[in-house]
Amino acid sequence: MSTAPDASLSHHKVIRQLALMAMLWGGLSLCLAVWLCAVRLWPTLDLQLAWLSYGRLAPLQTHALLYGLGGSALIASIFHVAQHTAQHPLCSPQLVRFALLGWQGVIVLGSLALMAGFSSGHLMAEYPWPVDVLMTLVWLAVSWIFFTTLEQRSIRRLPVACWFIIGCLVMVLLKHVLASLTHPISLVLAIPLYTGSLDALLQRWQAGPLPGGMFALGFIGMLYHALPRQTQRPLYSHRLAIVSFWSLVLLLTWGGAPLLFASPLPQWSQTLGMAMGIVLLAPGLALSINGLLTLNGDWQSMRRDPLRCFMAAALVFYGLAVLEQTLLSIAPLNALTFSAAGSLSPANALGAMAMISVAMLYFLLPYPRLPHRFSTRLIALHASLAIVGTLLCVGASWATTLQQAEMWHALAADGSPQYALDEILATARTPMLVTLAGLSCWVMGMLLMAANVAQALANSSTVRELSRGGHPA
Amino acid sequence: MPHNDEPWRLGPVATTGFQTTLSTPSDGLKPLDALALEGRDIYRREGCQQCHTRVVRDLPGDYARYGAAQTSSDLAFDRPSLWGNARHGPDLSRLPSQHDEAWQRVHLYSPRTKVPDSSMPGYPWLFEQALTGQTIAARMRKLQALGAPYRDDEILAAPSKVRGVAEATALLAYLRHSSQNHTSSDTALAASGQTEESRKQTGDTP
Ligand code: HEC
Repeated sequence: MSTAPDASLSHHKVIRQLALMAMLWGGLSLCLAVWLCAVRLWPTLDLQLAWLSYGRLAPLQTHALLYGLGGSALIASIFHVAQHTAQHPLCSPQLVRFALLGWQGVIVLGSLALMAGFSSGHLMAEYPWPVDVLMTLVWLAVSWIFFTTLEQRSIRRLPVACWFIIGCLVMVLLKHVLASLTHPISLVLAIPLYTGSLDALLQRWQAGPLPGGMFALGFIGMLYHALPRQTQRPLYSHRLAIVSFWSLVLLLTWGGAPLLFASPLPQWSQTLGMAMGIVLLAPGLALSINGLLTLNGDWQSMRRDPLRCFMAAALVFYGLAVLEQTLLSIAPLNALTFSAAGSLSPANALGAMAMISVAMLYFLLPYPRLPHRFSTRLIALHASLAIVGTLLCVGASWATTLQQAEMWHALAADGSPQYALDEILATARTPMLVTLAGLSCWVMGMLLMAANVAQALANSSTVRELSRGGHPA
Repeated sequence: MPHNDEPWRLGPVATTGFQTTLSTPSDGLKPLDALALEGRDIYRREGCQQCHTRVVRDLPGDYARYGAAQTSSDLAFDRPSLWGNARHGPDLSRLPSQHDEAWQRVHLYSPRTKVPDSSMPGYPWLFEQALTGQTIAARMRKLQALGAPYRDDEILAAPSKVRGVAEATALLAYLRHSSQNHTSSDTALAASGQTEESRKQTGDTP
């Protein structure tokens, strides 16, 4: 398994390409989110085109954010962690290329399929079955590359980040495959193996409460790799990380049931879901606090290095998202919040996820060292825009939920509902304007990032040309 | 629950047991007829579940509005389940009775002519496209194999029954079909008969 030395450079290129794609998908999906929010506020904007109608674009947007931004950033980090831990370039260059192109193919094909209406109808896993198959293959390729590269390491002991990534690789595969088993009817149509309530349960089990769901382990793995390097400090507690890793892996399997309270599911499964949702609080918070303690309140350095700020904010929002999910796992609170707008929208979770991904992109893109680092001022601005944007979205979602919940369950003396539906729906307008503002902050942040990255890349290529002219190889 | 005489097969038996409790149909539960099944597919295709739920929860605010909560057995033939997880519009398990078929057609074509500040998008193309009935037989066969009690003659007749029907008609047939619970299946038949007639009378546009 020996690879030519210049191959390592090309592997950095793959990581950079993945990171750039992640940035692109993030920007596109956030723009789309702004558009969808605007269409709901001013429905006359709607283009009346089948391919671009709300019901088809909404899943496209969440999928592009979760799989495009989150997934690409995650795969880039997995490759990076493997390479760094093993001190060895990635094995099987063919597979690496397949993973890069395959994952982008998943998102492009999946998005086109959703626009054409070939959705599988499964929450957060709406791509039709051929795309699911491709996704599974890419995931297997990524796992293979990770494990074979890791095999080459000289220090036997695995760093914690690797444990998290292994957990993520296995759990995502397991959940993805189990929840999307179907009987294909045609290339775009399939009938799921499970029916009715069981299908609903598995759909939620897969989508899960996002912070504890699909990618959570991977994202924490990413941060636990990057934090110590960025701060030049060891992780606050290795043991705490390992303990919370195992409890998260064992408990995560049961996440998702909080979305199913007061549903047709049998009582015992709802109770189990509640118990698991509450127990998850401990490892979730431990992970967040462990990371924050690694930063160790060193505010001075945070001001100098806005990337640390970004990582800290991501950890805080991850902690908040865990807390929110735990609150929602308590049955009466869940009943209260399950109102007209549905359960709390996953603004918090998606915010944390997007923030961790973006922080990782800033961390990964400069490898191999760009001669010109990013403008720290722009990173700081991006971080503040992301924080403000997420706060606005989360606040708006809480405001809608609490207000609508109150009205939804208010009954008049004769047992009839006190408020008409349109009165309840109308309360969402102002919070939706706030969400629009929050999403716009995020879009602006992504634009700043694009400008920043483009600048740094342009600078580095001129520098490389200069140095090539100066010292011919 | 299957009889467990081989303890080492506990895993598979437990999962099938779980599946049986969750997916045993209630007595007299009828699977969707061909037209409503096509309608369900359009509901999924257009992503109506992004804004509408189709599950009445066991909570006062819910059953005061939409009637009794469903049980797992009422949903036993739903593949995939389209519960949805957000209510930007009403729950659609049971359509409100104050609006008739014609109202629903106009509303679907252009919601704001009926509800001025509705945020629902219009679906004009559902009135221009007609069903081809290409996959309906294959789908019904598969559902039959998975336990839905379709008769063979029903499946054979399905493609010709749905061919040429406007998609909007099928979609509304689906929403009507599930708007009654399984105890009053004769109104279901009446409703689906009525939709077929109204299709012939009103043509494809409202
Ligand atoms: C952007 C979100 C959105 C989407 C997507 C959407 N709806 Fe709606 N729908 C609403 C809202 C809001 C209302 C309540 C206001 C109204 O009646 O127009 C509503 C109301 C309805 C009603 C109630 C009419 C009545 O009798 O009061 C029906 C039926 C309906 N929608 C069907 C559908 C179908 C079928 C689809 C998919 C083809 C769909 N909706 C897609 C938002 C949406």
